[in-house]
Amino acid sequence: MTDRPNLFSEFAAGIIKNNPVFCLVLGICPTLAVTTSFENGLGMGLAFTFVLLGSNVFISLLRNQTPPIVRLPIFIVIIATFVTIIDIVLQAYLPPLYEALGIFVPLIVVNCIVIGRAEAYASKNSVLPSIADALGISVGYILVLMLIGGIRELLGTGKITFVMLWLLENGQIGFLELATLHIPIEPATIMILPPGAFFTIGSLMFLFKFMGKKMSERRG
Amino acid sequence: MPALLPTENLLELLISGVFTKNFLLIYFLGLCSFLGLTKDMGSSIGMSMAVTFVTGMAAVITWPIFNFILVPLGLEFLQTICFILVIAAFVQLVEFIIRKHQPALYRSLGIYLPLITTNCAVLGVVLLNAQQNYSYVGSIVYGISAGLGYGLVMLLAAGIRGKLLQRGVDMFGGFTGAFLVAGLLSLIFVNYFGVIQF
Amino acid sequence: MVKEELKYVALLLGIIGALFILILVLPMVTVTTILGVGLVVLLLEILPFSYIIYKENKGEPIVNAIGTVARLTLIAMVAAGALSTTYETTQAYMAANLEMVLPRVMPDAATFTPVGGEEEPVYYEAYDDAGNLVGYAFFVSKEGSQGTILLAGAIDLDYNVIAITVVRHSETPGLGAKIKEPAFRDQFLGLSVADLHLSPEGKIDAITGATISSTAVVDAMRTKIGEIQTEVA
Repeated sequence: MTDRPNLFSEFAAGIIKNNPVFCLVLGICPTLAVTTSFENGLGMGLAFTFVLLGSNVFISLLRNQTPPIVRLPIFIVIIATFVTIIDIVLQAYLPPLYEALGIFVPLIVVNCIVIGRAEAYASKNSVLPSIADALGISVGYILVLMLIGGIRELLGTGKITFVMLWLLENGQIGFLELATLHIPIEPATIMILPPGAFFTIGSLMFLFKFMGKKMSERRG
Repeated sequence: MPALLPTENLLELLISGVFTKNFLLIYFLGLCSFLGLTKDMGSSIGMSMAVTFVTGMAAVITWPIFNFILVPLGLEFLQTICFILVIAAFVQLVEFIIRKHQPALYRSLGIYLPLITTNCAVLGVVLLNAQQNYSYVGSIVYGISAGLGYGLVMLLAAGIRGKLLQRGVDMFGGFTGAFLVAGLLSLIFVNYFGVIQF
Repeated sequence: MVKEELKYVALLLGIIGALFILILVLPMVTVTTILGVGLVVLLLEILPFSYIIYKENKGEPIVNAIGTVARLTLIAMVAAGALSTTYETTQAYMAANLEMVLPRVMPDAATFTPVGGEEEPVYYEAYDDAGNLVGYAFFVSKEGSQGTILLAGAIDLDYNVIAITVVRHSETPGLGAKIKEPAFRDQFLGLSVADLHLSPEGKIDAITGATISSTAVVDAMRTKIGEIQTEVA
């Protein structure tokens, strides 16, 4: 498999170099809106992963069958189909998460990351690299969502609950609580409310840029 | 089925769209264009006007589709896909008409139209209208007020960012600065317009 | 310039065509519906598309237009099929799943019989092992401050609250989300309709900073129990 290092670099690029939030500055709306807790951040990230993976695979498969004249409607139909599927699946199997994410699941359809990857990557590359690209971008996105969600939950409610998606005892898929961490500070509700989201992402973006600059200085 | 004529308080709807449920600062919808365009006052004005027009018209078009076609057929789950296709078709049509008949208007507004298809504010408005079961008039008013609220914040932020750049205050660089300005504005909206429940 | 404009018209037609198919395919998917709808759209779109492609690329065979329409139609058909199938599956699961909550609010009851309502039952009669009526269980939903709150509750034969659970909600963590916590929920136990108001009018203390969420829960419970009382009587 001579392809392997290539695929891995496509995957890795999505996490740091092409990080959708900090570097490409795309998909900001859900990044801020649903990150009131670690759990919601993870849930949104997973829903996003499903849509991006599905649309990337299908758009890449159909790339030679897509007449340029109807390219956009076909992209939209494919993306919207996957969004609707995950929307109704969440509603049935993970109702608490469905309520928490609200209209931001259907809004994945206009998430600039998905249509951006379709246009810039999947419609030009074969299936395997497109999968690697989708996974890399998704992991990068999930990490950011969990980071922001975690920070806001910790400062806003004074505790953070780490969860993961797992098969629960009652045979259903759901969030399994791993650990809860309390910090001895007075919770600042403002962090849960909208302004907290802006301040968190602003500070993180400053840090990310600052570290990037320091690193490139050291290298140069 | 929700009524055609308003059953809700229109003034309340207008105020909530512009202030208490501001699309940019409270619902976080349309932030991509906020980050990209508030560097410049001219493009902020252009984008705001285009968004207000499209959100209003999107409400006009999607309400009948939702309430006369999707709901009677039990196809509410197709709302996302229908709404996005209708909005995309509508935006293309408007762009086409404006470019052909109003070249001057096209130069100032038209260039922002393609950006609007992927602006979540528009899809957000129609999804919220469907979710809240507003009447026809109510949903149009809500659409327009959402656009106005979006415009208000765009102009405020463009003004502040412009002044900061003029004075040479750019310590945080582009996006970080934009987020901090948005955060401060959001703080004002949250506190003064009673989003925190009392 | 003609070329450019035609492109937009084609795009529009494509979008409308795809939309048309999606709207027409009913959730009850049968192969015949999908094929029938596909055929209609194919016939509707083939002429304009052939014309556009003929105009735009002079000399190119008309077959290309047919190909474009066929692909668009096919993709929309597959999408519609996939969506309808998923929808049907999840609907069946959801109906079965919501009723699984009932034993949680009324552990003493063995069977639940839905009563009234066309699509959703108004309430459930709860019977114990011996087949005696022991109370009523119900679901009720109401708009909170951030979205819909769905509650499950149970009352005894004197219409006093014996259980209340928040099935799902999207209230603000740390504020409205406290409606889930026992400190708030336990206040309801043993109360009758008359007491189901926020204090000082009734006996429920609102959550500090979350009056809207608290009011929604109290109002939903009061309205629903009142509804059950009239229904039973």
